[in-house]
Amino acid sequence: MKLLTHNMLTSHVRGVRPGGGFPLRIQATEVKVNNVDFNQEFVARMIPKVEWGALVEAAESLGHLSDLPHELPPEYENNEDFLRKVHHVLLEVRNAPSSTSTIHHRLPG
Amino acid sequence: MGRPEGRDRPSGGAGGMAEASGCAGPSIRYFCTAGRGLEPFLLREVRARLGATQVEYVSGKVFFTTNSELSKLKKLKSGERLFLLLKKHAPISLSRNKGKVFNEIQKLVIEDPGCWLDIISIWKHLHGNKVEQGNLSKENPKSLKRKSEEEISIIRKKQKREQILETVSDECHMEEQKKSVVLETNNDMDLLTESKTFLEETSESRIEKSVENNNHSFSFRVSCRCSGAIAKVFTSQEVGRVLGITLIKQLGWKADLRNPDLELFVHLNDIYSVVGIPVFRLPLATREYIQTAGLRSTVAWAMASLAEISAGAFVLDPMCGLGTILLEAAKEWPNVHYLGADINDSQLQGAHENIKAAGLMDKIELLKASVIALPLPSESVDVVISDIPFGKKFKITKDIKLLPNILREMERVLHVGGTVVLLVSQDLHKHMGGCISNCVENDTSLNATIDDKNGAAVVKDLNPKEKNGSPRSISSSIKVVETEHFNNNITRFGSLAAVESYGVSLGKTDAFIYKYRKIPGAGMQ
Repeated sequence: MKLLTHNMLTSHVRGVRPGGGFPLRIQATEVKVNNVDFNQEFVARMIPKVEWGALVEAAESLGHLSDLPHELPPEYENNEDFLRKVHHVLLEVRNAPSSTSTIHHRLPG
Repeated sequence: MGRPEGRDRPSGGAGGMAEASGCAGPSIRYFCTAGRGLEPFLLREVRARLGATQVEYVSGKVFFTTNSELSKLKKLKSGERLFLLLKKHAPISLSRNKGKVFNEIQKLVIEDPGCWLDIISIWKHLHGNKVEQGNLSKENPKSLKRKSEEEISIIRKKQKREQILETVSDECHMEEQKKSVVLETNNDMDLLTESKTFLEETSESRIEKSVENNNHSFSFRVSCRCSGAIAKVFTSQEVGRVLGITLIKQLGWKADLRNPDLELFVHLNDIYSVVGIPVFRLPLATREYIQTAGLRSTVAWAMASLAEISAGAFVLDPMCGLGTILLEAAKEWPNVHYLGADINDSQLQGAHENIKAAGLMDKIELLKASVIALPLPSESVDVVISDIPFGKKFKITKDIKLLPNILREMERVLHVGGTVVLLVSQDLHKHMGGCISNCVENDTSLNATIDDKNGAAVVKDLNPKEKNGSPRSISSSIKVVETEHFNNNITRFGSLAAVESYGVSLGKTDAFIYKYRKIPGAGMQ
C-alpha cells in the first residue's frame, strides 16, 4: 500500500481514540518501490491532507525517510526538490505487495 | 433555470474534457447514438470536448456540428456509436399504397445524388490525416469489415424494443468486428502492437489497397432499423433491400455484405428518418483500456463527469467491484488520488487486474473494507462515487435496511462541500423513498426536436406526475431531476443534499444516477 493511503487509514485510528492515539505501526515485512510519474501540482495538493508526523514516522520505519524533515517546511508549494521527495515517499514506496491490502477495522460503537 | 444550458456546468478541472477544438477543418454534421438517459451527458460532452455547435438531441441520438479531427472524436466517452449525418428528414409518411411508401423511402437515397459525393470526400478528408500519419494509402475511404451472414441488410431484428436492445446489438457487432480484426492480424506482418486502434488502422490500409485495384467501384451495405408505425408495415429487411437496390441502380455501387467499403445506417421511426455513415468501426463505448467491464463504461463515465473531480482530490469508490468507475474517472481526470474498496476478494482481484491492464496502478489503490465501516477519517474524502449493487447481486428485501448505514458512512467520510454520485437500480430507487425524504422530481420529457437555431432546441413537456416505473413511449422521456433549483423543497439525507438525478438505461434494466452534496451544519441523522 502507498504511504499516502496508509496515512489516511492511520489518521482514522488516531481519530477513533480522542486525545491519545498513535500512528499504526507498519510491519515492514515487504517494502517495494515503484516508479510513478512526478506531478508537482498533485503532490502539493495532497500534502495538506496528510498527517505529516505519521508520514515521516512511517517512511522512517520502512527505511525510506528520504531526507524528509520532521516539520513540514513553509512555502513548500514551489519547492520542487522537496516535493519530489514527498512524491517518492507518498506514492512510490509501498509497504506490501502491490496487490490489495486487508484492513480489519471496526467503527467504535 | 432548468434548461439544458443550465445543466451545462463544467465538470472537473484536471485535464478533463476542456480540450476545446483548436483544429481547423470543415465543419461536419454528425450524430452519435447514446444509451437512453445519457443524451444530456453526451450533449454536454460534445460541447465541452469538441466545441460542437448546433447541438440538439432526440431520444437515443445527439446531433451536432464540429470541425474536430478524428482523434478527438474518438475520445467521446458518453456515446455509443458516431455517424456522419447524411440525411435527416421528417418521418416517412405512410399510406395504404405500399409502392408509394417505397418511393418515399427511395427518395432518401436518390433525391440528392451530390450529397453522396460530398459525404465521401468528407470521409476521405476525415480519415486523411490519420492515413497520412500511418504512411498509408489515402485514395479510398475507410471500409467496414464485418462478418455477416445476412443478406442485403444487417437486420436488427428486435426493432420493437429497439431502445433497450440498442446497446446489446451494438455489443454483438462489436464482437463480430473484433473477430474480423483478429483474423486479419495473422496475415499482417507489420503489426507492432496489440492496441486495437493500431489493428484498426492496419486492417483499413489493407482493405484500402485492395479497393484501389477495384477501380472505384464502390461496395456498400445497408444497416436498417425501423421502429414505430413504419415497423408495423415493413420489416427492416424489406426497407434495407429497397434502399440497397436503389443505390446499386442509381450510383452503380455494388453490395458487399462481408467487406463493404461503406456502411449505410438508416433509421426510420415516427419522429425522423436518418441516414448516416459510421465513423469508426468499433463503438465509442468500447474502451481499449478496459479489460473486463463491470458497469457499462458510458454510464461510469457519466457518473464521474457529475462528480466535480478536481486535481489533487481524494476520490473513493467504497463498493468498487471491477473498478469501472475508477478507471473511467482516472483516464479522464488523472491527477487525482483514487481509492477503491470492496468487501469481495474476487471483485478486488478483478479490479486489480483491470487497473493493471489499464496502466493505472499508480493512480488507483484498492483496499478490502466494508462500505459501512470504512477505515478512513471523517471528512477526509472529496468525492464518493459508487454503483450500489443492490438488486443485482443482493436481495433487495434483506439488504435494503443497510442503505441508511451505507449513506451515513459515506456522509461521514466526506468533506463538507464534497459530492456523492451514486447509481441505484430501479428497484432500490423505489425503496429509497423510505430513507431519503421525497425527491422532488421534475420529470422532464424531452421530445424530438428538428429545429436547431443555436445550441439545443429542446421541446420540454413537464409532466411532474408521471411515475418512474411506467413504460415509456417511443419518444422516451429523459428524467432529469434538478432539486438544486428548488431550495424550498430540498431532498436530503442528513447533510447530504440531493443536487440532481438522471434516469439511465443499463441495457436490460433501468437505473438512476443520484448526485448529492454535503452541506454544512446539518449534522448526522
